[in-house]
Amino acid sequence: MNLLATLFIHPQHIADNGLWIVVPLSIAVAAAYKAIRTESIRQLPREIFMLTLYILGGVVALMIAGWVIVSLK
Amino acid sequence: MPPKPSDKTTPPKANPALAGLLAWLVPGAGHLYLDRPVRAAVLFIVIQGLFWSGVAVGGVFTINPRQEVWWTRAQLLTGLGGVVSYQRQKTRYNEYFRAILHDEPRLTQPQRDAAVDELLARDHLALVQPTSGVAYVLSGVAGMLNLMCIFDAVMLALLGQMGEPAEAAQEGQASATPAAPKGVS
Repeated sequence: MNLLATLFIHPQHIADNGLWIVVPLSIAVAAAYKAIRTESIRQLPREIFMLTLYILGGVVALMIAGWVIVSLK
Repeated sequence: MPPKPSDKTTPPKANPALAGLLAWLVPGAGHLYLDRPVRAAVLFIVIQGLFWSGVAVGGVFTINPRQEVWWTRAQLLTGLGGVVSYQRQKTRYNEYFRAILHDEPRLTQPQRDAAVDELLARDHLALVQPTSGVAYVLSGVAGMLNLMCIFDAVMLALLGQMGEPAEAAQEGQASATPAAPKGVS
């Protein structure tokens, strides 16, 4: 109830660094992009899923690459 | 054989400016206007969901034109949601501003702004990291995604592409083409 009272008015406390937002952002970007670009509506859920995986895979690959570069220095 | 009533020999024309305006006002409305209801529903849910998730995380001052000009511009691209949120923060900010003006009439403008910021922090309304980052990104990316939708709606209207692409025809070409009924040229 306390959360509902403060939602949309007060900032919520986020303890971590907020990296988790990569997941909803990836889904949203994939959904919006594929909703515009796809030719077949029936293929839309599958295409959104695949593009989300590609985006998340790319982000993870970049993270690994960045970690390797930093570790080598 | 005369064309069926559903056959579109002359497709209805769409107004690009209206398509763009609708797409800005309500995410997905531009595509609904262009007779693409499923895509419109997906865009509406995704963009509104993302934007209001950001506002839910960040509160009233997720839109903060005094300190985050570029994020504010991106957030306002979500249309009515952005405008409503902008007005909410403006109203709340002005309440604090008037209180400061009443209590300390001799302060200069920068001093008043600083005093308002202090009051906002005292009342737990001011955004701080990492909450601010999450809130700005969620709501700002929603606006940028809507910019993509606005552009798409305008381009589709300019090209005169109403309705879904001829999906059945394309899929029919991929599979075996059925024999045409006799008497149909």
